[in-house]
Amino acid sequence: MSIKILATGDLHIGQKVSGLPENVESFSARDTWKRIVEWSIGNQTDVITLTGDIVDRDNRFFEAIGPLQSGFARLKENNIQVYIVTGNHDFDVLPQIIRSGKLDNVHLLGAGGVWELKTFSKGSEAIQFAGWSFPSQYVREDPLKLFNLYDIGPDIPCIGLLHGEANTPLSSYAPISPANFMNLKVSTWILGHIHKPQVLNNAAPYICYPGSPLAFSSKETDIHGPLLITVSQGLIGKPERILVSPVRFENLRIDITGSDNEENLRRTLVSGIIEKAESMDQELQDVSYLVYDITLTGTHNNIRLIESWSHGLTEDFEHETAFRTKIIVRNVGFDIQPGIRNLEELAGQNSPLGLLAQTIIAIKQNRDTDFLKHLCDDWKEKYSLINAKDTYLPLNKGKESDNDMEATGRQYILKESARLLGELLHQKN
Amino acid sequence: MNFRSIAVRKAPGFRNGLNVQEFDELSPDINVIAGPNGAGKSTTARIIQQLIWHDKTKGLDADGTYELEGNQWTIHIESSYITIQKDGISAQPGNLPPAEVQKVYMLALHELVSESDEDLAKRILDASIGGYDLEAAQGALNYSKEIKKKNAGVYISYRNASERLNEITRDHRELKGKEETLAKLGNEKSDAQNAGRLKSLYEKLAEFLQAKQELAKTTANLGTFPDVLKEASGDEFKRIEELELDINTENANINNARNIITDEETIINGLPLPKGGIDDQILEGLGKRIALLTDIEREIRNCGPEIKELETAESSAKKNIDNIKDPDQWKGIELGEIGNLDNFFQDALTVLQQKISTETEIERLENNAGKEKNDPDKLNNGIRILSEWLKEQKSKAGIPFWIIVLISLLGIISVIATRYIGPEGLVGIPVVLALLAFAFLNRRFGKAAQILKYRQNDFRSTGLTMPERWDAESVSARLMELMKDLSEELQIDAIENSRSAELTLHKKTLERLRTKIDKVNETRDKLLEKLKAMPEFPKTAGDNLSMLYIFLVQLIDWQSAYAKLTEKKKAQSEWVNQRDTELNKCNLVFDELQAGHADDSISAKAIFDKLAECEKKRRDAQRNIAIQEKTITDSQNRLNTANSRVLAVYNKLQIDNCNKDEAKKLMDQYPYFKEAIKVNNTAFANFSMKQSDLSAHPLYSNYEAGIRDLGLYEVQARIADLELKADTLSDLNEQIIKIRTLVNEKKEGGELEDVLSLKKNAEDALENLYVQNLSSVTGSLLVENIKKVTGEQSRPEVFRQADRIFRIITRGKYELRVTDNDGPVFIAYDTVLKQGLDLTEISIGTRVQLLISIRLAFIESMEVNIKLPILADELLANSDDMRAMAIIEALYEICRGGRQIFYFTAKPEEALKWVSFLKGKKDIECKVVFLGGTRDEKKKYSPHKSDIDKLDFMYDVPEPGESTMEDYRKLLKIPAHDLITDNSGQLSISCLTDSVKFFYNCLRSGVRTWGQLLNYHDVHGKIEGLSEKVISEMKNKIMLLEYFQELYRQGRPRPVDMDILLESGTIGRTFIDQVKQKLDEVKGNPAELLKSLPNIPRFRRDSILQLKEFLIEKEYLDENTPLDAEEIRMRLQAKFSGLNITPEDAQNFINRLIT
Repeated sequence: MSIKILATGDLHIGQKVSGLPENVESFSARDTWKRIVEWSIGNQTDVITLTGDIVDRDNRFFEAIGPLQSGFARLKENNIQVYIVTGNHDFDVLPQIIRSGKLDNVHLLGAGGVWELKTFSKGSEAIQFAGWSFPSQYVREDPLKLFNLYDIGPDIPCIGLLHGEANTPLSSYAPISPANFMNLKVSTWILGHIHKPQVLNNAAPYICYPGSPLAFSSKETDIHGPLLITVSQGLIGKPERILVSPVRFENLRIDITGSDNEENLRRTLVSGIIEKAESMDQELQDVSYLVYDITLTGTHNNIRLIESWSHGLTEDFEHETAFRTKIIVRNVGFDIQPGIRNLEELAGQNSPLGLLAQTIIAIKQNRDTDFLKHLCDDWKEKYSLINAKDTYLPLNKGKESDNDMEATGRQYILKESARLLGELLHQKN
Repeated sequence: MNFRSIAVRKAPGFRNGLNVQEFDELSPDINVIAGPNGAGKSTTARIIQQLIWHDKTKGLDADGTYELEGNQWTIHIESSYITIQKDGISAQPGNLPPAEVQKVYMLALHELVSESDEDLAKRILDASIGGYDLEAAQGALNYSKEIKKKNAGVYISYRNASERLNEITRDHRELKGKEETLAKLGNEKSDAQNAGRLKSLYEKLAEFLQAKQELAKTTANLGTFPDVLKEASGDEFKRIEELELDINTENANINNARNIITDEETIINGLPLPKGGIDDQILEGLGKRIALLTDIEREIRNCGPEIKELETAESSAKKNIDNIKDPDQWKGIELGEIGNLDNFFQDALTVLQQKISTETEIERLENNAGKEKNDPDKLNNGIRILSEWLKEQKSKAGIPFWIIVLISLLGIISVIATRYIGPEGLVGIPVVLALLAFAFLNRRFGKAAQILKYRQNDFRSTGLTMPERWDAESVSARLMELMKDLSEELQIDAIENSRSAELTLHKKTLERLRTKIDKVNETRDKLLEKLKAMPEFPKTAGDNLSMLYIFLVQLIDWQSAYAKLTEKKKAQSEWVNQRDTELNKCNLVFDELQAGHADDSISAKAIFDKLAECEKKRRDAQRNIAIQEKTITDSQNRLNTANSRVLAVYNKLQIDNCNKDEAKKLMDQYPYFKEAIKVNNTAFANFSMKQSDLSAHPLYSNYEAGIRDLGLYEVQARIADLELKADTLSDLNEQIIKIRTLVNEKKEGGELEDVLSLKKNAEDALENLYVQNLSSVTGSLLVENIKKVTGEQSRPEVFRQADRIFRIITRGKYELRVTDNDGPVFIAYDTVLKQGLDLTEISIGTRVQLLISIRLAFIESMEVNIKLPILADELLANSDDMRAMAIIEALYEICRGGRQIFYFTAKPEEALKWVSFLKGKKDIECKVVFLGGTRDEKKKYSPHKSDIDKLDFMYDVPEPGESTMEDYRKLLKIPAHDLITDNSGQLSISCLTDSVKFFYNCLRSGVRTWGQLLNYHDVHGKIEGLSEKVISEMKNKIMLLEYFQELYRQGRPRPVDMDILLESGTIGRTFIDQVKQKLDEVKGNPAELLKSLPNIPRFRRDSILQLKEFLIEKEYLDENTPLDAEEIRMRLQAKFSGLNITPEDAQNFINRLIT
C-alpha cells in the first residue's frame, strides 16, 4: 500500500491571473485551490503538502480564508491530511486560519520558526514531514542553519517542507544555501517561494520548487501544477507534475524574415503559433487558455510595415487546439533588424545610415563610439527624468546601478537604431 | 563603371525578357532609354542596379558587361545564381558602396521640381545626407521627446485602480479591526445579558413589594363595614319588598274567588234538573238507546223495497215451472244431492259427444276397407318366372349374362326392398325398367321351346294374365306390367295397414267411452228415481237427460227466490218489535226525569239533547266552585309563608320591629362592602403570585439575602441602573451581527481579488506605456543626435563638393555658399552679377541643378575610387523645357566627369532634346534606345527605319493535296501535344478538325493553334470553313482535352527549371551548380531531382523536404497516385457523353493527341 502525496505551494489565494485580454474569463487562485482539492479527492491522495504563501498577503484578511477553510474541510471529509508551512506572505494569517478552522487533518509544521517533525502512516507505509514556518515577514537567516531535528527515524523516509529563496544570500525571505541541505536526514525537499517550477538538485537529496500551481502572469511561463509524490516500500518516488493551471503563458519568438506581404506574415505568425502549441501536445490537456507574448524577430526592410501588419494580431487571432485550448496572443513585440546585407559595409558610409550601422555594431560588440557615448549620456539623463516623472513613479524604476542603466539604455538605443535604419532604408524603396 | 551591354532574358513582368538589340552595345557616356509606361524602363533601371549590387535577383535572368578600371567585367544572373568575372576570371569588384544606398544613384527627376519650393532648404539638407528624411522617419516611428504626463489614460486607470485598492484594503483592514473587537463586544454582550437577567429579578422584587403594599391597604378598608354584612347576601332589602308584594297579591286572590263561588251557585239553582243532577250512567244509556232506536227505524224502512224486489223474482221463477200445478209442494224438496248437476250434465254431454265422434270415424274407416286387390305373392311369382325365362333366353341369344343377372337381381332387390322398406324401395324399379328397355331394344333373343313350355305352365299356374306372346319383347312388356302392378299393390297395402291401425285405436276409445256412459246413465237413473217420487213430476222431464236437466235447473231457481222472499219478510217483522221495545224504555226514563214523552226516535232525541245541555251547565258551575275554593286555600297558605319570611329577613339583619327604612340603610352599604372584599382578594392573589414569581426567579436564591430588606424605592433605583446596562444588548447584538455579516460577505466575495487583478493589469499597461515612452524618447534622442552629427561632420564636406559640382554644372555661373546661422542657410552666388541669391530668387532650372549637385556630392562622398552610373528617371510627362534642359546640362556635365548616365523618359521629345543638345558635342557619346510602344509612338522618338523588312499576311504552307490529316501532320511535323507542359491554347488545330482543307486554310492565315484560332475568331477574323458551329464543336473538344489533362496530370510531375528551384529559397549559393547539373540530368523532372539531391554532399535533408513542400505547393509535384488508362477512359467517357461528342470523335481526338 503506497502513500500518495500532492505537493504544492505559493497558491497566493486572493490573487487572480493578470495580463489577460478583457474578453478572456478571469482565473483565480481560489479556483485553482478548489481544483487541487477535488483532484486530490478524485485521485485518492493521502496527503497534501503546502510550502507557504498559500494566502496572498495583499488579500490576507478575508477573501482567501473562506475558500481555504472550505478546502480543508473537504479534505477532512475525505480523510486527506494536510502538512503545511507558512511563507513570508502568510506567516501570520495561516496559523490563525488553521487555529480557527479547528480541523485535525491540517498540521502546521515549524510554527514560530522552530523545526518540527510529524509522521504520517498508512498501513505498513509511513512518511515523516519535517517543516519550518516563517515566524515573521522577513527572515534574513538560512533556516537550515537552525535545523535541529535529530530524531528523524532512519527507517522512515522524510520529506522537508520549507519556504525560502535559494541561492540568494542577501534575500530577506529566508536565504537558503543549497549546500546546507546536505547531510540532513531528509531525502526530499519541497520548497516554496519561487513561482517557476525548478529542480535544484536531482540527486540525493532531491530538492525542488514545485512552483505556483497557477500561472499568475505572463512572467510565469511554462507548465504549472503540483507534484504528485508516491511513497512505496519506504522509498520516495520521482515527483510527477499534475497540470492544473487553466492558463499557460508562453513567450514565443517568430522569425518573420521573408514575409514580403501581410498575408505571408500572417501565415508565418499563425503557423509559428500553432506549431509551438502543437509541440506542447499533452501538456495542454487541461489548459483553457494558452497565452502568448510574441516577439517578431528576423530581418526586414520595412520594420514599421511589419509592426503595422501585425497590429491586429492580438485582437484577431483565434485558434483552438485539439484539446479545446484557446490560444490567444496577449502582446506582440519586435526585435527585427533591417534587411542589410553587410552592416559593416554600411557602417563605412558617411551618412545617417552609416551612423546607425556603426551604432548597432558598437552595441552588439559592446564597445563605444563617440556618437554612442554621447547618445547614452543623453539617454541616461532623459531616463532619469522619465523615472522621476509622477506618471511612472508607481513603477519604481531607475533604482539600478549606473552600469545597469547604461546597459538598459544601449538596448533601447539598439532597438531604435534598427527601427530607424529600417525606416530610412524604406524611404528609398 | 560603364556598362557596355545588357541582356535581359527574363525579368519580373517580362517573362520573355527585354529583347532590345540596342542594349548589346551601350554608350559608355549617356544612354537615353525612352518608352511608354510599362515598356520596361524601370525594369531596365532595376536590372542595371542588380548587375551592380545583385541583392534582389529573384526571377531575374540577365547578363551585363561593364568596364571598370580598364578591365572588362561580365556578370551573369540567373535568379540567385550569379557569376561575376573580370576578364574571364571570377572576381568581385571592389569599392562598391553598400547595396542599401543604391537608391541614391536613382535620381527621381520629377522630385527635383516643385512649384512651391518653400522646403527647398530642407530638401537640400536631406539631399546632403543622401536624401534621407529623418523628420519623416521620426514621425513615422512616433518618436517624441515628450514624457507622458499624469493625464495619460493608462496612468489614470492605474491611479483609479490603486485608489480603489487602497479603499477596499482600508475597508478590509477596518473590518479586520472590527472583527478583532468581536471578543470585547462579546464580553459586553454577556454583561448586558447579566444585567438584563438581574434587572428582571429586581423587577420581580419591586412587583412583590408593590403587591404587599396594596394588600395591606385593602384589608384596612374592609374593616370599616358592619359585621352583619358579612352574613348578608346583598338582596335582603329587595327580598323584603318582594315578600310584601306577595302578601298583598294573595289577599286579593282570596276575595276574588269567594265572589265567583257565589255566582255559580246561583246558576245551578236555576236549572230544571233534580238537585243532584242526572247520573252519568243514565244519561249515557239513554243516549245509546236513542242511537239504537234510530238504526232500527232505518232498517225497517230499508226492508220494504227489498221485499218488493224478491216478490217479483219469485213470481218470475214460478212461471218457468208452470208444468207443475202447485209449486209450493216443491218448497221443501231438497235438491242438494244433485248439487253438482251442472258438472254431471257437462261430463255426460262430453262423453256422449266423444262416443258419437268415435263411432262416426269407425264407420268411415270400415267403409273404406275391403277393396279388391291382386295378390302380391302371385305377382312376385309371375315376375320371377318371366325373369327366369328371360335369363334363359338371353344367355342363349348372346345378351351378356351379367346383364340378365343384374336385371333379375335388381328386380328381386326392388321387390324385397319394397316389401321391407315401403314405397321408397321402388326407386330401384326405374333402373330395372331401364335395363329391361335395354334388353328389349336388343332384339337378339333366343328361344327354347322346351323351356318355354315349362315357363308357360308355371306362369299360368299363378293365375296372372299371360304375355301376349312368349317372345322377349312381349315377355319383357308383361314383366314391366307385373312390376308396375306389384308396385301399386304394395302402395295399397301400406295404406290399408295404416287405416287398420287407426280403426283399432278408435275402437279401443269407444270401448273406454262405454264405461263412462254407463256411469252417466246410472247417475241419471238414480236422480230420476228420486224425482219420480214427487206427485207432480212431469213425465217429459224423465224422457231424456236434457229435459231432466232443464227441469231441475228451473226448479232450483224458483226454490231459491221463494226462500229469499220469505226470509226478508221475517226480518222486517223482527225489526218492528225491537223498535217498540226500545222506545218504551226511553219513555220510562223521560217520565222519571219529568222531561216529556217521545213517539219515535226523533222526538226522543230532542228530549235527550235538552237534558244533556242542562246537565252540562250544572256540572261546569259545580267545577268552577271547586276551583275557587282551592284557590282560596292555596292563597291563604302562601300568605302565611310570606309573613314568616319577612320576619326572618329582619331577624337576619338584626332589625327589630320590621323597620324597613333601617333595613334599606343597612343594605345600601352592601355593594361597597362587596367591592372592598373583591379588591382585597385581588390584592391578596396578586401578592401571592408576585411572591411566587420572585421565589421562582433563577437568581432569587443567590440574591435572597441581599434583597430581603430592600425597600421599593431602592429596588426601583437599582432597576433603572440595570436597565441602562441591559439596553445596550440589542445594540451590541446588532454590532456583532453586522460585523459577522460583513466578514462573511468579504469571505465569500472577491472584490479585493478583482481590484488586485485590475491594479496589476493597470500596472502592466503603465509598464507598457513606460517602455513605449522610453522607446519614443530614445528614438527622438537618436534622431536628434544623428542630425547633429551629420550636420557637424558630413555636411561641410558634402556642401563643399556640391559647390564644386554646382559650378561645373552651371559652367561657373553659380556658386553654392552655405552660412551657418542657427542651422545652414543656402545662397546661390551669381558670379556674373556678383550677387548672392536667396533660394527663392533663383530659377527653377538652377534649383534643379543645385539639388543634383548636392545629390552628386553626397554620392561622391560615399564612393571611393569608383564612379557608378547615375540612373535619372523622368517619370512624369509634365516637365517644362527649362527644367529639362537644366537637367540635361547638369547630367551632361556629370557625364563629362566620367560617370555613365542612364536617362529614362516616357516623353519622346525628351529624347529629341538630348539628341539636339548633344549634336556637335564630340566628347560625349549618346545612344537613344526605344522600348516597346506602338509604331506611331516610336515614330515620334526619332526618324526611325523600320526593323521589319516585310509583313506577310499569307504564309507559305505545303498544300495537302489528297493527304489524310495524319499524313499531312507528318508532312508538317506537327509535334505531339505535351499533356504535362502544354496548355489547350497551344493545341494544333489539326487535332481539332478532320478537315485537312480547313486546317490548311488556317495555316495559310498564320493560325496554327487553338488559342490563335479563338483569338482570331474573337476579333471576327474570317477563314474559309470557320463557322460558329465549328468553333462550338472545337470548344467541346477543348473542354474534353482540359479534363483529360487534369486527369492525366494527377500524380505526374511537371518539369522545373533553376528559376523555380531558386525561388524556393532552399538552394544555397554553394549548391547551385551541383543542383543545376542534377536538374539537367533528370531533364527537369522534380520527382527525380528530389531523389538525386541527397547525393549532393552536405545538402541538408530538411532543405530537400522544404523544396518538396514548395514544389507540391506550386503544383510541380503531385503526391496523388496517377490514374491508370482505364480510370481515365471511364471518366472521359462520362465527360464527353455530356459534351455532345460521339465516342468515335472522342476516340479520334484523344488518340490524335497522344500519338
